[in-house]
Amino acid sequence: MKKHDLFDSIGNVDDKYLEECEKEQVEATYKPAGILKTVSVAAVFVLIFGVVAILPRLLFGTPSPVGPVVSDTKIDTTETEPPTDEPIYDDVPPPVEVIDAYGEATRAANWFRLTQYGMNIDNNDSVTIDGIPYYRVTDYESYADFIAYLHTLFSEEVTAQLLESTIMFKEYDSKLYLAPADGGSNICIGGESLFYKVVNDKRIELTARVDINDVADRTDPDPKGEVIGTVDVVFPYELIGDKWVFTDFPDTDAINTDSFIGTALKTKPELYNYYECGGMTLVLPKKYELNYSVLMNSPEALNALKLNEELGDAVTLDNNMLFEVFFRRPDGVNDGEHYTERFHQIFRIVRYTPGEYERNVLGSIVARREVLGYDGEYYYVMWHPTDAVVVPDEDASVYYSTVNSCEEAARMLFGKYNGLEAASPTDFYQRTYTYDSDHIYYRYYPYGTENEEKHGTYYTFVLSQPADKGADGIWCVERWYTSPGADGRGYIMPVFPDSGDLSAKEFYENLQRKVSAGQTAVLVKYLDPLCVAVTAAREVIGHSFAEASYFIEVDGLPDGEWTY
Amino acid sequence: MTDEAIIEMFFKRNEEAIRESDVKYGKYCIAVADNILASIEDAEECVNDTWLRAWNAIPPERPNVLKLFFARITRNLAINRYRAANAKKRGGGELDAVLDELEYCIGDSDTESMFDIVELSRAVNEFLGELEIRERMIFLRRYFYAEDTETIAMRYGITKSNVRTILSRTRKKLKAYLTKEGYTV
Repeated sequence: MKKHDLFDSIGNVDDKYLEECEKEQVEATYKPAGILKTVSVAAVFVLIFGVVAILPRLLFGTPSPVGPVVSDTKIDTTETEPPTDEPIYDDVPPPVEVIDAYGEATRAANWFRLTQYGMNIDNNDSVTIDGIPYYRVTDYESYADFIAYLHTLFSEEVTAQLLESTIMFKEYDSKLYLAPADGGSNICIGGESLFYKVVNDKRIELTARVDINDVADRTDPDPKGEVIGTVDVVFPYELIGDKWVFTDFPDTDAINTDSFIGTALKTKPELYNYYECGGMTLVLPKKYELNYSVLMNSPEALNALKLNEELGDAVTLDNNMLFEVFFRRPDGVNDGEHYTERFHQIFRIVRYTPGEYERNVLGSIVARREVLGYDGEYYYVMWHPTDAVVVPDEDASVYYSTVNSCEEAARMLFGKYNGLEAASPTDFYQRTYTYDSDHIYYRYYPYGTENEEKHGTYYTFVLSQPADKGADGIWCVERWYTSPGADGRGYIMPVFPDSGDLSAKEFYENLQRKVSAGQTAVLVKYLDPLCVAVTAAREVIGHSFAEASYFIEVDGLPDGEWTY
Repeated sequence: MTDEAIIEMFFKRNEEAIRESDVKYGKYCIAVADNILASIEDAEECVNDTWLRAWNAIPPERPNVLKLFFARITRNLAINRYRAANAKKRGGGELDAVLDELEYCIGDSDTESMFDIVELSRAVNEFLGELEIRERMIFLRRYFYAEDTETIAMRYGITKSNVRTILSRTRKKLKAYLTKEGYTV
């Protein structure tokens, strides 16, 4: 071979590589100071290296000094030539250096936020601090070395913020110790393009234009560019003393993407499938349509089920249920049949009257349900199955992609598409009391008050006046506290009456009117708090043996830690 | 004028195609040729030949990227012109230095051995595909466009020594790759 041959072979390089070269616009918009004396301090220079694949960046950062890990190039050619009458700064770092620094800083910041990729620990050298095992990081001789390294990337303030943001890193015996932990990343955040701007001779701003992915792509490990918007995040790079460091390093994963929810419904409606039932529409990503199946509580769906008695018997469609979404195996086995072992329920969407909502959601201490919204008449709730899921290895990837994507679509789009008001049980759970009134507190000893010492079991009933106040107001048990465990902790159990479709408040107001009107023997008990408490012990807890002597009035809520 | 319109004019045998090509890509092609020939006059002549070659090639060819199509023609013409003019002497543009640098990659095999240029091109393409984007762009700026290191440094906002370091590292990788593929001894 001769050198000319090699040179000629390079002449046959693929067009895509030459296009890559030709696309870059640096020559047109950026000349390092000292070479071109017309660079604007305020001009935004477009960089050649956009970082598209966010995951590699998040996980691995960018090794220095080789340059960013780049899977693709993003070029913005819309920028204009900078004005020519601005001052020039000769000594600011050029774009490539700043990008390198950004990549390295991202990797370091992710040690605190995401994963300690690239850090080596000695598994045989550990200490336990506050019950957590920490392992010595062998990459740094001392804790001070680690801090010194961070100071090459970040200002002292940013370094301090990072260190304070986690308990993963500890100094012990002057060495650096780490409690390895990984966090999840925001699947809504896509790739990013970087823009470089010289503000003055002591400040550069690197702006990351972060892509916001559509919900249908959120769980795709390799999003194919269904970008529905961008958010700019500025990383100031400043000369502090004699070194350039980042004086702020925001976490792009923390970008609030709520404003983008539903964007693609308007701009790219073809990305979704639409299922209608009971006047509501469930929107699911078309991308996974081969892997899910939707059952709707409609006459057609019920009739179809009746065609198969075996399936029909297995199904109990309650009146509340609107949609039920099932995972369907990729191989299409049992296509069309929902109720077999091979079809796992992903979620169901039900609607509740206010009364049903209070009893089934607020008053039911069950996890795995999410409130999607309220239309003024009904609450819409997504229930997730609580049974264990056994997914064959070969299906795992598509299973979790499908489940996550469908859940996200329902979570993000159901309320938006159907014009629901936001609703959440959080407000209720953050309140100490259901009703604003005076309260009476009873300790209920199910083994009798004389056996208090022996058994130590007691419940605390909280009584309120849900309608009228004072002597003529009825009472109710609005919640009870379980007996505290050995660790002093227990649960709060909200109580809602069997009010049918009415809310508890409406129910009690009706009851109050009846009591106020007649005060019959049956109704008068609602004016006697102790009688109300005994009734609740019998009817709510099921202790038919409960009687008034088992109750002692106390001053307030029990001490200890209580959760719903 | 769009590339598509220019190509259509070539297909319709409208000589305006050459004028429009020259307006749009003339300076670019001159720069490509000048990198190799280090002579504006020679480069301009070379680019005039480029339009003639393009006129003869389109149709039947329909370039995907017109700019690159012209760049390839110009580069080949410039190299031929350079070789003809420098058969017995050295000097001129960057090509001498570029070729000397590439000589390192082929080791002691700078001999008239028979091999398949298509296969070698394939190997070079595969090698380029393995490079990081910045390495690849700098490599091509040097060995496809024959740009000098100062221009490359200016283009990417890095120092000349940084460019030389990156090129040196890439050449070592290329040598190792070609050795593995059996192109060098």
